[in-house]
Amino acid sequence: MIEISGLKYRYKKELPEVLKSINLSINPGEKILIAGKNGAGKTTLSKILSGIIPLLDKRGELEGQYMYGGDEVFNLKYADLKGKMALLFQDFEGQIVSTSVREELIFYPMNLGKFYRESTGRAENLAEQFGMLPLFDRSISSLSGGEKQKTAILSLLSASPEILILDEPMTDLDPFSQDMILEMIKGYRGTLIVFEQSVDFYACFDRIIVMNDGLIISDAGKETAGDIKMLEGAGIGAPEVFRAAGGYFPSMKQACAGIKKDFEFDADKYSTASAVRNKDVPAVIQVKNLSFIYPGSREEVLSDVSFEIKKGEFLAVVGANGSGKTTLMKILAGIYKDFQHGEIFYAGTSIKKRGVQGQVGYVYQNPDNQIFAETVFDEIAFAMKMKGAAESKVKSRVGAIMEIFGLTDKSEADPFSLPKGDRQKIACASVLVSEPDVIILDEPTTGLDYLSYRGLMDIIEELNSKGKTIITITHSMEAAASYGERILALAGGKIVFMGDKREFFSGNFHTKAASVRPTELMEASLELNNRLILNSREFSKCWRKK
Amino acid sequence: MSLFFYKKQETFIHRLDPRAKIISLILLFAIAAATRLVYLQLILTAGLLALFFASQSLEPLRRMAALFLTIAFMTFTLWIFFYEGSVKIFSAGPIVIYKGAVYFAVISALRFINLLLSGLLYLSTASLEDLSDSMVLFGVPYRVAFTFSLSFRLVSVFASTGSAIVEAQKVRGNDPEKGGLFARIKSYAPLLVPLIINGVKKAEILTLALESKGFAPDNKINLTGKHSMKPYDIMVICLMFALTTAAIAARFA
Repeated sequence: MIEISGLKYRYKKELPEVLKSINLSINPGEKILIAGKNGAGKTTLSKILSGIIPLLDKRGELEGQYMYGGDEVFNLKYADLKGKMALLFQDFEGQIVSTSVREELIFYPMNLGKFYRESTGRAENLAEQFGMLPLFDRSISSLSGGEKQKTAILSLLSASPEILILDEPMTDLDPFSQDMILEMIKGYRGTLIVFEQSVDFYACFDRIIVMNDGLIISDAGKETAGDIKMLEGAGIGAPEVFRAAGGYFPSMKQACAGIKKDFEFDADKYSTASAVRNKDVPAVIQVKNLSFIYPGSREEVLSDVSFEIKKGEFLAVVGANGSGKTTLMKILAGIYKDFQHGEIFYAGTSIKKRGVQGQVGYVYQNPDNQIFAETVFDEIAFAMKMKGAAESKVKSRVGAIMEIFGLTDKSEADPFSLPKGDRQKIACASVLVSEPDVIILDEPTTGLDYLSYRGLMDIIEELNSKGKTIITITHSMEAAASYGERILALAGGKIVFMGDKREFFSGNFHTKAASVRPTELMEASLELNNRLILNSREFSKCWRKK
Repeated sequence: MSLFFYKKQETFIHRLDPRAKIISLILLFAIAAATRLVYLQLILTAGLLALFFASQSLEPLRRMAALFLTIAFMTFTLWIFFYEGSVKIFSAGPIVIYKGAVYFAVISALRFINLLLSGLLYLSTASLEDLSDSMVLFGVPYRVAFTFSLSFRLVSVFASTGSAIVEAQKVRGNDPEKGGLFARIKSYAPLLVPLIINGVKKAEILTLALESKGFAPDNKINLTGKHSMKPYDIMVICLMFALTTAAIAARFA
């Protein structure tokens, strides 16, 4: 039993409180989802719950009481909690301490004094359960982001802790891997506390807690996921089906019945919305029979890939972890130049001859890999200054870009002091300032809360409407279905689908091949009248309130 | 591209106990260092190449071949000019070549090659865990052995972070591999800031991660059941000792 009362925390005396009087009781075996936007205090609370703050990280100022199993946790030594509590950090990659999957999965139990055979047996079972057995002897450095995230989660499960705390465990996982983690959550025998920026996975939990600005503003059951007003007030989006249906329903059938009761279908609007728009525009990028092997490897990461990207289109690239999405996009952006077979043409000219620098911009998943300047303005202006642009031109263009991204009032702020949503916008703006015609975004919404996600994607959509060609790599089927027209799906380095997104999500042939799954809203729409609705915007057009 | 050479394979060399592997490596070094006859060094080179073939580790050999041959060539060239014998066979100003210089240069180059090949064979057939486990099994404290393997993990983390940072900056037109010396130095600042900030963050997280996963400096790890010395391992160690003894004997014969 966990009993927390009057918990307050600040990282430094001069900084504001991150947690402001948290009171919380958790019973053994409960499965709790704690949701909140960026900066709500989730990560701090996860560290306090696991004992890391203040037992290992003693820097901040803490008030309140935390009782666990009759002990005051703040008076214990961390060794007293060894093996009882486990926390998956948000930066899961930094949490991996071994050089191979096998060694990582046995590290925790071995350090708890367990024998090698027992530890390995448990590790093998876990790896098999989560589809990691083929990677069991692989080095950590050779894994994709999603595979690393799974390894980090399994390394905690290997110690069978009484309380498992996961801070955003799904960020880098493809939908099938997410399903595996959700299955684990459903079957977990201990106490499970998962921190997320959304309530999309509400169905796996007994209890949903919503945090905002360091406070718990709601603590109730699954029905919390349908409290649209409260969630939006906290900067969290309700699941698409509930947004469409106007509230919570315990099952898909009931949600559909509720929609049928309150809404009517407009067939004319649907035929307009679902019409395939074949734009007669030239291709900006043509890829012909492309194959790629990383230096020093024998495995083909991309195999005989051919497709075209039309000028001004908005393309979503989807596929399982390790399917070759990022590699393909880095080749298109001219970052990886040495592809072994095939040809790539940009506006009709081979990129091997001319290069694409300045024409194709690439926004990385982690904004912190590129931010270095002392102010937001200098960071965004960097690419132009590198090209030797005149001061007046730099000022006007950077000013315009900051306006688009809503960063004008933060012009003189230190980029590192801003929330992740803003850092992602800065990273994006600092690439766009060079005015590339094609913009490739690698998982632009990872780690962003609902409002930041919508804000960023709306800006990108706006840029697309002004003629920019946009390519986004994404694991979010909601994003793939909400933004853009076409989908490129990869599996095992091969294209399994390239075309209209409605065709992709119709039936499960293509989605299965690409190891992704349709959204709940799509499933609900098919259940309603067999007409596929891709996103909530389309739903509100085609289903009108009676 | 991986920084490491090891690839799990099911060959007789990969299957050796980590202790047998490290002892064999030390003895191979001893043989290479002791041997002063060209034909014996050539036999050792041939033997090592055969072991690369047998352990299906030709890929690391291919990756390093150019570097090894360059080192061998440099060694050969340097010793030709720096070897000091008693009989001059060539002299032009400050350049003097003595009798025996070519032989000494050849043997030095071969010795260097054999030392490098032995090390590469070990790195291709022994994982980092093999190395740290063998240290623990030889009585080195766990914290020392683990820190050793952790440093390699950190190298790969920093290398991948570094390459991501370089890529991200190149996309924005800041290529540290282009331009003159001053331009290159200037282009490194935007790389260093994120690298240092990422590095500090990662070091902080790693410390917390280690302690939160039960690691403590005084932990004792029980490796029972993970490795066992089989008769085959003993045979390999005995064979290596015999070869080393023969090489030392040949040197003093």
